[in-house]
Amino acid sequence: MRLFRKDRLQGTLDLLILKTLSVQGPAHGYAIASHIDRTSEALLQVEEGSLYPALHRLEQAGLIQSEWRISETNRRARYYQLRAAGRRQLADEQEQWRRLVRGVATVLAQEA
Amino acid sequence: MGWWRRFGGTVRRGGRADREIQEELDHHLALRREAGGKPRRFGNVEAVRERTRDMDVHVWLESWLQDLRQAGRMLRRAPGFTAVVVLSLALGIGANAAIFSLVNAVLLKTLPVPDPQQIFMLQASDGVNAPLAVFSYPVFQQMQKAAGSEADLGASNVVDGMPLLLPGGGRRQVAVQLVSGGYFSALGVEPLRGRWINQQDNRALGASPVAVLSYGFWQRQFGGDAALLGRTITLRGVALTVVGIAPPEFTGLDPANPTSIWTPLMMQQALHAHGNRWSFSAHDDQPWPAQEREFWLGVFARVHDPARAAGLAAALNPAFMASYQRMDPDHASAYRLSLQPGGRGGDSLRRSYGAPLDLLMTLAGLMLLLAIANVTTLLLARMARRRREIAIRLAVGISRGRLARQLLSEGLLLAGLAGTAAVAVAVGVSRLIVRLAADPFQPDLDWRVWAFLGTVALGTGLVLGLLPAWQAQRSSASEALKSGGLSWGRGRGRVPLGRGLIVAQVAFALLLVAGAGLFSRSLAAMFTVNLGFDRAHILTAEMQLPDKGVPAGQLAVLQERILERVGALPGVRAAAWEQSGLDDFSADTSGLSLAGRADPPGGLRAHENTVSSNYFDAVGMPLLHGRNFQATDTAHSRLVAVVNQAFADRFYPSQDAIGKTFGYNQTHSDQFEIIGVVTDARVDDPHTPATPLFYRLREQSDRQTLKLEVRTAGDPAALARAVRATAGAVDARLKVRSVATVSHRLDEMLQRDRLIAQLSGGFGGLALLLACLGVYGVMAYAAAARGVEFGIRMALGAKRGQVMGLVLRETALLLLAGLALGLPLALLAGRWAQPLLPGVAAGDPLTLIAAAVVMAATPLAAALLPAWRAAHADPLRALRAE
Repeated sequence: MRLFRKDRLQGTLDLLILKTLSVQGPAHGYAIASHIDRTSEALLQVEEGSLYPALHRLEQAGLIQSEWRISETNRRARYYQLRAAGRRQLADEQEQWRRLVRGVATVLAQEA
Repeated sequence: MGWWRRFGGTVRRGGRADREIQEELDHHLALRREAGGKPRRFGNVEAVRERTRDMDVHVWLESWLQDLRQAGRMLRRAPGFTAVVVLSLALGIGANAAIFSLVNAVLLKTLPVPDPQQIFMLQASDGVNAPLAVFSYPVFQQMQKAAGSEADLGASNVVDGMPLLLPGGGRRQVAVQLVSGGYFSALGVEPLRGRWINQQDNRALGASPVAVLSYGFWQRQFGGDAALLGRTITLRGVALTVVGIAPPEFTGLDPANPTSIWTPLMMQQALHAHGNRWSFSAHDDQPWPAQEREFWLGVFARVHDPARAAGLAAALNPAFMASYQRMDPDHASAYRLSLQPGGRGGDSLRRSYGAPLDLLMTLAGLMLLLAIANVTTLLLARMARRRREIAIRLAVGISRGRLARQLLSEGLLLAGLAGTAAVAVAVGVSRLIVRLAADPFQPDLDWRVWAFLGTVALGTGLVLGLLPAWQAQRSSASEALKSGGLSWGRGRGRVPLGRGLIVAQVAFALLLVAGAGLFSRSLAAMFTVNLGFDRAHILTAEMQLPDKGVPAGQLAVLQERILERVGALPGVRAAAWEQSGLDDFSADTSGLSLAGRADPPGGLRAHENTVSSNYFDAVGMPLLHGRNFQATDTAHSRLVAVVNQAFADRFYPSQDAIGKTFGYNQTHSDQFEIIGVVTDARVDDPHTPATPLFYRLREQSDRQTLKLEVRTAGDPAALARAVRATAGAVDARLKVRSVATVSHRLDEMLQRDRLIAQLSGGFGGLALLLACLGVYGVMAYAAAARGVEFGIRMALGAKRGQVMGLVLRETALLLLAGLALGLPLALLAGRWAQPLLPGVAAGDPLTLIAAAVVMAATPLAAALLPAWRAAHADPLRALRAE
């Protein structure tokens, strides 16, 4: 699990994916990217070049699992969904993220 | 855990993974097209697929297989390259494994007994002279008592060549070991059949005539007949009941000198078994086990707690010292008993082959380095040729990691092929070595050798794979494409490291070629060195007394008669008797005291030989000062001795030795007057200068002089039959045991030198070949790469000779650099190997110059072909190709 704290940016993408899956339920890669795009009001645009490696990495780490299903547009697509470990990891990461933001915000809020 | 899950995934999903990733990405792209998305951010689809795929181990494994297949294809496409690489590596690795199999057998193997690290050999040393490694039986018993329950002691005496009566008649010389009752139980081995010799067998002199046979001897001589147990064999006229058979792997404490028959040491007198010993005026014809003055038993101890070995030595010391004090009161106080690790068994082979094996292992290691350097050069040159291919693959999106892995796979595949071929080379070379060496090598190709071979092959593969991979990491795709693939340019090395490796190869090869030269010169020197006697014309006949012996008075008369008859044979110039022989290590060692001088601690040591009066003339050993033995020296006149120059120099430096007296110790009744000094003859060992030695006259000594030295006018071998017949016909009791020329025996003693010379010669030749291949490979590539430049030069009017000169000049520079590096190395290495180079100086300029010339000329010749090709290529074609 420590793996994901090594790199803040990579960790952020992981966090966003986990959060999306917890809100949305099972989803394929494109849907995950679109969801992040939409809910961040286009502030965060997911590099698709990073998305799939991240999804596979999370799956290998046992945080999410995947299966092939027929999508709403009647095509075969790979759907990802959270596993229990992923849910725990999400709670963890969220808490850490909040702390980080609070810390950074406090420092930035100081008057010159 | 994660790894297992991944692996499980591999098995479950098999080879579909790649397709699935593709499908997933396709799905994504399709949705985006439908959404009218801009072609953004996805970037290189190929690269994304690569990275996604790398997240899965099963895909990872799959791609490894792919890489291997790809590597296989690349190698098949260049069969010449592959053959050269695999062959050079196989020779390098195989030769290493073969030499290692010898190291394994001689230096690493332990005795086939349980807990060999508990076995220690006893010796007493004064810190100056060679240690005393034999003990009397009374002292042995005292020490066993002193050891108590902390250690079990065993004692043995080896007698080479006792006559055994064969079942079908006839006799055979066998190696016999006389052992104490606790010998086998202390070693802890179990007999294959029957029982061992035990304490009961050694209760009284001659009481228990029994024998245990070695497995090999039982098989060879008796066909493994199980009914032999309980029957008798006749050894030197004594019937011994066979009570046991040893297991196949156990042949005594010195595996290099296997024992055939074990018998209780209490049988010594009955068997007239006179093995190596130290004697303090003991009575040789009395039973040895009863005498405190007879030091004849090698003693080992099984120390139950090896950490206590030093303490045990201290505990045994008083028992030894009490006895030694009585034997040699002048020098005893300097001696101290110690325990030497003996778990690897007797060390006769290790002593004579330890240093040569280190050397051969080093030479083989150099060979391997050379082969690796050679192969790396070829690989890098090939890589340079493949730059464009690699650049294209990088451009279409293969990741650098994957590329590096592919190159690594090629290296490992090459090493794997070479390793497999090396197994055959190792087996072949080690068989060859056994054939070349007369000594009883048993190179074991056991797991240690194979583990060694595998490790070396793997390491080689990593070097071969990582270097090009590292190169590829540094290369830039765009640059490679721009430069058009052929970019040797103006002679600047674009085969990176290529030049450095060629220089290193030349240096290593010079080292090996120079080594080959030095060792063969040393061998030649040994065959021609002046030994101080007439080596080319002497025949030695060794006589054998009957079991009952011959009364001394009669023997002297018979021996005189033999001298007369043999001396009268046509072609014989002279004949003489001596005790020790001109060509063996059997000369007695004696502790001496010089009259009127205080001894150094430990006393003085010198070899001793007993000869007939005409000996020096007969063997052609020149007398330097004083006089020879003469008719007035008799059993009743005063004791006289002739000493060699080394004796005179060592004990009477800057004095005249003639007229001085010395004895076995200050108070001993035998005091010798020195009457003459003879030249230093290398009678022990042709390799080493003579050590102090004195000669006694046969008439004044009780030693038996059974070696007949016959000096001939012509080829001594031609007289062997006549001498055997004449000497054997004088009296039925005096038989001729063996007849051999001294030069033949010397040949055998130079076996080791010959083996080293042959192997290092082989290494030198291979090194030269590899260096030529390397130079050829790199220069051929360089010349091809500079085709454009040469084309332009020739278009501008350069002559063919000038173009050839360009290539050759470059080669010559590389060779010179290699020689400049190699010569100092060769000098250093030679100094290290000097002890193994008798008769030649390690820095012998003639050898080094010759090696350097060979090393310069041969690879230069190898570069002629690429140079000629470069000069005769069509300049237009070269220009168009760009």
